Amino acid sequence: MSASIESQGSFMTEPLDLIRLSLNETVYVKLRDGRELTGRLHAYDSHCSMVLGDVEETVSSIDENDVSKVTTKTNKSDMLFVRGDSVILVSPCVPEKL
Amino acid sequence: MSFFGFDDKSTDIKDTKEYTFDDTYDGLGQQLQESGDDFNDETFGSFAVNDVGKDFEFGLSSSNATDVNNNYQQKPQSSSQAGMPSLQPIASLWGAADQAQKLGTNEVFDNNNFDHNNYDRSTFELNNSGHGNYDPTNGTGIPGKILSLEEVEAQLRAASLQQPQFQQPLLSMPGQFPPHQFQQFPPHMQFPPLSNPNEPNFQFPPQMMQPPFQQMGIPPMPMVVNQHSQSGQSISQNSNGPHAPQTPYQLEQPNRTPVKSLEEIRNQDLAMAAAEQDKAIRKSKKMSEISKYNNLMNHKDKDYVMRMQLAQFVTDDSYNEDFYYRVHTAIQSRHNPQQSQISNIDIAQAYVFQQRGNNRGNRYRGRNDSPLERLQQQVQRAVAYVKQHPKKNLFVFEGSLGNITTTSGKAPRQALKIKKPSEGIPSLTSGDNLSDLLTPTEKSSVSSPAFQLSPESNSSSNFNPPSSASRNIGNDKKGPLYSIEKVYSILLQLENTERTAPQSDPSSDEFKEWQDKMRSLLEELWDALQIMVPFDAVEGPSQVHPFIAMLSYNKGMKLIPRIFRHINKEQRLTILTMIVAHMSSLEVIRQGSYTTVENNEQSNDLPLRVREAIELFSQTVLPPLVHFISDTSYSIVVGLLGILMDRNDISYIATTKTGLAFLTVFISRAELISQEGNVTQSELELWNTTFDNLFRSLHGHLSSIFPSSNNIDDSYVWQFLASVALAAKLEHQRIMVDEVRDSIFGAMNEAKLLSPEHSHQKIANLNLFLNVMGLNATTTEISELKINE
Amino acid sequence: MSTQNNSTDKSTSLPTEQADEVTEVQKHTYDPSSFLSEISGKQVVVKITSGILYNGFLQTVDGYMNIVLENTQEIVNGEVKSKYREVFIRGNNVLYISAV
Repeated sequence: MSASIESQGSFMTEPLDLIRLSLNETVYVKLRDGRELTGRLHAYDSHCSMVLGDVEETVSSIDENDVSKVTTKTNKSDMLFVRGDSVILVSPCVPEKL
Repeated sequence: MSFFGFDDKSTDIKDTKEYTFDDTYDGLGQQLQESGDDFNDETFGSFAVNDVGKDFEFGLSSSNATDVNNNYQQKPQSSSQAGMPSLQPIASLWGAADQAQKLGTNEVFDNNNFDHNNYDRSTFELNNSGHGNYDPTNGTGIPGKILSLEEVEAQLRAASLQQPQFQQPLLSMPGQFPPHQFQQFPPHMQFPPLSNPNEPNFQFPPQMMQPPFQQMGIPPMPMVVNQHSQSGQSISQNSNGPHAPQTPYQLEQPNRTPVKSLEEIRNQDLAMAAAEQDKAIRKSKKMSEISKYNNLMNHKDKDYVMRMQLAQFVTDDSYNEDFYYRVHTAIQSRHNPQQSQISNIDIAQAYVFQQRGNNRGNRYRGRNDSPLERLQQQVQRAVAYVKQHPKKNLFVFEGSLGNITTTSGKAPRQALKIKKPSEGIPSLTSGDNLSDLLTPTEKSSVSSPAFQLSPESNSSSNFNPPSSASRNIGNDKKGPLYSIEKVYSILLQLENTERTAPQSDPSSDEFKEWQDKMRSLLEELWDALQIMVPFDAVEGPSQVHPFIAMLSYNKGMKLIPRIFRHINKEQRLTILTMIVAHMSSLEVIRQGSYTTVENNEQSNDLPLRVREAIELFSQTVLPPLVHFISDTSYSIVVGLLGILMDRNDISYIATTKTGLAFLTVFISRAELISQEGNVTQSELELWNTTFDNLFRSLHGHLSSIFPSSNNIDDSYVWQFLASVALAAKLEHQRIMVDEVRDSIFGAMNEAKLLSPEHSHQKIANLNLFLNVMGLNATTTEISELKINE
Repeated sequence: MSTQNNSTDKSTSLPTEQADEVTEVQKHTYDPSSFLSEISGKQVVVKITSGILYNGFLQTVDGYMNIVLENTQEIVNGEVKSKYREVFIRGNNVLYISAV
């Protein structure tokens, strides 16, 4: 085991490492159906199922009649479990919106 | 057989002695399931217990049973007494034993929540009315409870309709009712259990069609009794015979129904109607409560969660893999120390027994069908199956996209096998190198969970942090994160190894092996801390030592107390020295100064994130360090203070809460040892020089060590000043008072405006410092301070 | 992690001679896996099923098509909507990865 640690090759060995490094840190998660979460990552698994704490959820929905109209709603939650299959992306820091 | 008054000596039983009650009583009565009362009301209505129970009193004892038998005028009193022993085996033949056995395996019975006690009292009284003598065994004959309420009711109604025609012929000619009427019998007559479809529910053996006398008569009974004795008490065997249970059963039937009067039946009906209503109300109430959560999860979701939960069972080390739950319980137990010892098993038991509790199953704990045990068995079977049938996760053809894969919670479907560019050989990852040495079977057993739902990945080999060489490539923010994860991996292994210490004696090989493992893990841990990396080797713009950089993260700080448990004194001192020497690079110091606050914050306080970090630092990192300092020698304390001053800007560090905390600890510890007097003259001189240097660095900056806002708790500042004043000479004290005079008066003025409680606190903090110099302050007067001075 | 531990690679499950053959063939083929391992570190565009494009530097990709990109632009309908310093894209959403 010691050997495998010392003999590591590339900087990042696999994508899920990025999520592991974000444990206990604030992450931004983009979900299907225009949902976004920002919260502290407590746990995750290989499906990207996650447990987040102090979460703020932003739900964006497009108006049926006017496509340019986007309404957003935010919810807060102390703790939530995100099922992996609804995850689109995870970022260690909140993206810079343009 | 003397049940109906016939002399049983006329039968061809070989030895009647054998059939006294005590001999033949097989103890089934003790196996009576008397639990499950809770939902009795729901099932029978509240009337059932109170009203119905009394009405059917006559069925309860053997003497009362004569009421019944009196209806048959030709039957002598003795029938009930004589009948008892011979009926004993009969009752068992009815499937009572069979039922008792079935209860062990058939979930229907457990989940029924039927109360067998009340069952006896209400429904079974109907039973007993006909043949109260063998009450005990009857209790175990529960099959009737499978019937739904509606069925019971329907049959009772039918029975009540039949009643008039029924009783009439019976009283006059007991044996002579038309066979078809038997079909209308109340539920308890439906003997062979419903769960056994092979046995017809209600079959009329040929005897039924025979003349009534023969029906009641002698021939069948001895036959049964014989069978009973010959089969050597093997009850279940008896009940398996299709006709054996039927024969005596049919004999009973005539006695049973006539017992009920029309009125009783009506009462029963009323009770049932009320019960049904009551049940409907309860049901709708329950449904409305449950339906709140309807459609919250679809079927797929439930399957998914179920799979995840089951996957957690199939683990060799639940401790590591259930990290999240562990932390949760740890936090819970902190709130509620009395319950700190809750284990997984307790929870499981609580859950399972809660279900069981509904039928007060505790009385029969000996039963081997407890849901917990069943659950355990199921899990064991599942685990055994998985172990016997190792997964073949992936059949991959190099470079192709189409793979045939099977997936599990821990190893989801992989679409493609990516070659690691860093490795020369294109088709092999490092893991494959390992698996090359193994047969396919071994490989699958080796295959470890890809990743658990926890930071406690089971081995650090699953996590490859970057080498120091490659760290320069990426952003240097990730370096410390990698280091932290690496340390956690090793630390968790270490803690796990520690838990699994062999119980054998310390000289055994097993123990030595364990010790070696611990030692090598400790070495690894120490290496992973990178504390011995020379500072010169640190690259990058931030110029922060890798160990100190780890402490920039909350999770890094949390490592310190856990690591301190394992390392020795020298290593602790090394860590402390490292922190002291690089104090200015600590995130909590760099961002924790109030002198920079005005520029970036309107609220005059540090950003929340920084405040939280400072709080965490003082809760996690400081305690083990302070504990170490309070235990260490004079020269080390003075030496550390020297290093702190040499390597850092004291005037800046003093403006941070964390920095002041360190200074306070060092000064008060050194002063305490000096006052104890166990120090040499040279040591004392060194301390005095060090303190003078320190004071010189602080001189002129003392007013800036206070928080930027009055709303912030400044007690730590007064504590620091008190410790300095304690060590200071008189002229030092004068300088101090001079420098912080404004703050002293400020604090007093402020205290006047505060509520008494806060005011008192504020003054108490102030007096921490003033008392050291023989002064005292109150909220009221500045003059008072002057008088004291 | 999972790539290393759970896979049963073909060369070991086949008899040795065949395995050699396979390796021989590999040297001359250009397959998706070698493409993916080649483009790591380079600038790529990732399109996900919703049609959103991510333009960034590929850090890693695994067998599930999970991708980590650095310095990434999120492009919706041709417009750059947001920027990520680092982003993990869950593999099931990925339509394609193309080297720029």
